[in-house]
Amino acid sequence: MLVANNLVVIVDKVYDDYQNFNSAYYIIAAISFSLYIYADFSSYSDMARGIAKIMGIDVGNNFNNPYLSLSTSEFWNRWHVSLNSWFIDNIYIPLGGNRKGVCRKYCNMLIVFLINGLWHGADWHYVIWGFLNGVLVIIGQLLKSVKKYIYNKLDVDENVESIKYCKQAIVFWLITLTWVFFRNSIHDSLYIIKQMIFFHPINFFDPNLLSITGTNVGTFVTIIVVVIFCVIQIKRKDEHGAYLKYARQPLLVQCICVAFVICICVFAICSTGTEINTHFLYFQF
Amino acid sequence: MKEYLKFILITIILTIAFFEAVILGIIKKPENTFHSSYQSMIQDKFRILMETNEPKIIIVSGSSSAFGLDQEMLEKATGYKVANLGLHAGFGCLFYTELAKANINEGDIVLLGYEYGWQKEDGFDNLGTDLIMTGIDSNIEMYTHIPPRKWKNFIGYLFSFASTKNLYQGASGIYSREAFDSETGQMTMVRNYNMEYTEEAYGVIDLSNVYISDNTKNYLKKFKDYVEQQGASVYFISPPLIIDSVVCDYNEFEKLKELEEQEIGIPYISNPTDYLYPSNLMSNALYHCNSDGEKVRTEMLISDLKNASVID
Repeated sequence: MLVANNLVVIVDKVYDDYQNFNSAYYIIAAISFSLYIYADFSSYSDMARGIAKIMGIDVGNNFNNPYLSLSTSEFWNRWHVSLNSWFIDNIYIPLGGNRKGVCRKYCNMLIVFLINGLWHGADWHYVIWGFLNGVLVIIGQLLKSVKKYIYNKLDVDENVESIKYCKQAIVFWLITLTWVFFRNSIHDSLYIIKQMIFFHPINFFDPNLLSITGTNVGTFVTIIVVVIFCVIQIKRKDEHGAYLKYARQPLLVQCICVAFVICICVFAICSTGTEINTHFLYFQF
Repeated sequence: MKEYLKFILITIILTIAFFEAVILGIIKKPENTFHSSYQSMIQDKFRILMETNEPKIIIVSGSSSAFGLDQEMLEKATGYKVANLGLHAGFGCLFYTELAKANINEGDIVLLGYEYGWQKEDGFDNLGTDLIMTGIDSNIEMYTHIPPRKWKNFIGYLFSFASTKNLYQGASGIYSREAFDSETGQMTMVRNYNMEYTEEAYGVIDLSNVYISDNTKNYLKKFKDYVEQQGASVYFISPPLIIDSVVCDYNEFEKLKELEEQEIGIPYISNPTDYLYPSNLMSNALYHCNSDGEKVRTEMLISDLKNASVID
């Protein structure tokens, strides 16, 4: 919540008054929203997981580092796993899944994404958001063989780190663009996306960007917590290993670690102004 | 189980230790960074309050009493020592009222001269965290007078405070400590200029449909009880105000006075409209007297105290 509450300040500031900002702000706000919605929803899911675990129930992972996905279809296998599994079991498969030909498969996928959009709210911008994600997944699957052909032709191993990072960056950017429709009306989203795509690099040299959160200190704190958050999320695939490593330390070191985290949390709670919306975004869905 | 309890205990101790270390580290290192600032004068004013144990007049208000009170004249006319806490309305009425509670003794007279606006919702209860922290700076004892329900705001401001401390360049002129005598807390910098009031620059005072919020009433009722338990007495007095800024019917001032007396039960010893001054008695803000205005205001206050038989 510390991360989400810091990021939502940027998101609200820019999107609520988007006509007074330029493309650099839109790009930062869009990236902030991508991270915000993940931080907000994954923390909410983790709390539920933790409470269930206390009661002896393992509900499984709802998020599996989705922003590290190498394709948009992989992203949707890692994002909100519980809801997507439900859609697959109750909509995609009853519609015929991939058993009735390629065309029908893509139609079924698009229907699932449209319903997914509607599930988030009876508003056209959610439908567009769902539709765009469906289109991206379908295009990704259609281009799979083309990409393979190109890699073979160029004699490039698509599993090398540099290619992987490029793929992750592209997926993150595409998903980030679709989130703009999730947060804003269609009219506003079209304007923002147009400005983001045709952005002026000079806009990034605006010194006011340093105080995008309201103050320079606030921006600095936000950058620090987001970097720490991202590092922790990347390391999460080995969360059990991290716990074992912690448990092996002497008692005093364990206590120091816990005390340090508690202090950070207390300072973060106190730093959260009352004007910041601290509700979980997903409570409304 | 024993190991687990040991873990809990050590963690709690370490958490408190880390927490204290961060707070004290930021507040105390370096000390008195804001010494030259206007708001840091509150430390001297508080020291005078704490050191004055003989019967005294305690002035509780914002800057209207920093700019508009000749303490020496008041002391001579009344025979009481004066502890004038008036400095900056931005501190919040709650803050300097809580400070006043630190040393109220038998026979003391507490005069509440809040600037208008205190009566509204949150008008009393809001604290200027930044002003207070840069004012009391590394004076740990003064932090103990901040109500615990407001601590969250101060802890939350801590890192911004560190940043402000790091960038602070010092202050001079009328809005600095050099404008005051640190022994008496009296503003000594001469203000021989008249106010050039404009609505755009200074705003207006509008008391239309005036009321006193419930939380303010409740707090001040308790404050009155506390003062009386200490054997002291408490009164409302009017702050000086430039007449040009008033955009409501003057009866609203009378109405507020009645509400203060009826709903809170603290006597109001001034006539608020007497303290609506022309620009030749005011200086650089709605409630700031110039040097002439300071004398006029003090004479009127002495007269009010005598008329209400607060002093002989």
